Amino acid sequence: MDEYAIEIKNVTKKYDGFTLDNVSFSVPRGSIMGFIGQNGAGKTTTIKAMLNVIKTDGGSINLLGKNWLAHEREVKEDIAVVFDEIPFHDNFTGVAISRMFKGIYANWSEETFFNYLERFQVPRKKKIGKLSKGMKMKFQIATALSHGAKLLIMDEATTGLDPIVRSEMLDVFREYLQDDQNSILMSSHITSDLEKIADSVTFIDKGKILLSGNKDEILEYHGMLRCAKEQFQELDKELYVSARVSDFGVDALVKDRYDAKRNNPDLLIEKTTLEEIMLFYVNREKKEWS
Amino acid sequence: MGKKSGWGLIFKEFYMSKTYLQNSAFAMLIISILVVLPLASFRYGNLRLITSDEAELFYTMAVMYGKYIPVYMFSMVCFTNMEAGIKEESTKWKRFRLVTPVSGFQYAFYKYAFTFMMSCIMIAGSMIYFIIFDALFGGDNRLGELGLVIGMLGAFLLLETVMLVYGEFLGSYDKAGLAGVLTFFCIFGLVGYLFREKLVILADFMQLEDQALLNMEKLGHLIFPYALILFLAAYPIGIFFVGLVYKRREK
Repeated sequence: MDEYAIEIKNVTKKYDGFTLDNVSFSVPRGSIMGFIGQNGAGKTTTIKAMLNVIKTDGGSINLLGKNWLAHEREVKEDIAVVFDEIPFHDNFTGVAISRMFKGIYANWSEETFFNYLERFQVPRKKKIGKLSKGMKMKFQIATALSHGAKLLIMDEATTGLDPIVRSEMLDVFREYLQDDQNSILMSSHITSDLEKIADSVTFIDKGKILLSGNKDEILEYHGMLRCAKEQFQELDKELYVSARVSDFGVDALVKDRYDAKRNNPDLLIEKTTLEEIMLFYVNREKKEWS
Repeated sequence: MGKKSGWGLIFKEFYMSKTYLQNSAFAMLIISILVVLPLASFRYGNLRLITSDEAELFYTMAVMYGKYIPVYMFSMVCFTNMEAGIKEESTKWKRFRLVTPVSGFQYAFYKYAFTFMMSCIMIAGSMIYFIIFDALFGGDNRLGELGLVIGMLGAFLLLETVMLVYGEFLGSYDKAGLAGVLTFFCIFGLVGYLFREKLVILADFMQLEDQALLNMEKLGHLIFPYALILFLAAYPIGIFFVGLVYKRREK
């Protein structure tokens, strides 16, 4: 069995005003990757390319060890996709959706689906249009987890949900990953969720991959250097990704806090968060910003 | 691996059209009552006492319209695809459809399979209606009646296919309706022009006189083979073109 659930190599897609530029990353089997980036960074475009929803201008994609074009139908039997909005009409109920899905997925399990609905407290005969936003997302996730999918791809699925519902969903995803053949790619800009659950993280900005790797290592090595403006002026510009300058001082993101500390023992360098990493990388071209 | 059931996708078409089907069936029932009651009065009730020529002509025309307008309303139950398309347009169904293991042609096939089922129900229902109507008000040209019904269904099905294709291309089913009708009439106008010499024979049937209904059903009898071909060909044509547009990916 292939060791990667997703392998993307040099995928390119050109639009007017935006290019997905040689995007490459891999998601190991049995793991969850957080795919982060600000709005318009290229997360959804990358996911659409992965699922052959759009045609790419170059590159290759393997999903579950198979080429995504040559084995498209076969691969899609084992993939589940969760969008930011439920793609089913408001008139559908859980019972109706289950009947429909029997015609879509060979391994559709009505029993599993109804069990999830019961667990999520979503009435199976209630119309989707009458459900709250959180319940609609639970409904969609229930459909995704009920046909034996080996790869779950979520495109901003938890955006707009309250923390209670998000926490509940993270528990469901952890259970899903207990089968080490299952994998998740979760695109989000709610980095706090990814810090809780992701094994690896890929950060995309303006169509380019800036970072990709083990989440704990990224968080372990990146650091936030905090100093006064005068001290900042003496720093080597290669040391930091970008710096936020204010009247109170400077915060600068460093890629290797241990190395930075060795070279600057007098300076305060703290652990940072994925959110700060994202923010400072987005401003990398400005170098200094406020 | 388990097995998929095509009935699931046929059920989807039915479920998306449920409200439309209920409303169409109800409208057909009301229209039938509204047209049959005055006719019954002409034949068996108070209006029978009016004996002028105008009344006679009015009765003849009323029989013609009364026989076919409810059937026309009933035919609406076959054209649920636009209704389903409009509903799908309001959600991200199109993107979801592209990420499922079902191909565009398969989705199109089951869509038209459902339409075919509804057409069969509609044809059977219409023939039952004609038998009852003819028993009450006279007439007995089953092949002619069938020819008119399936010819109408075939033409409307092609029109709906054009609308569906436009709907997918334009990304809006509101615009697709008008664009489809215009295109359809352009195509039929062109076909009519190209075959105008052969179509002259039909002029004899286009008389709004006291023989109008009889002539119309003779026309139905005459065109029956062509109507049958049109009706049967409309399905593979629809599956092909709608399947093609369903295969299209996003830009």
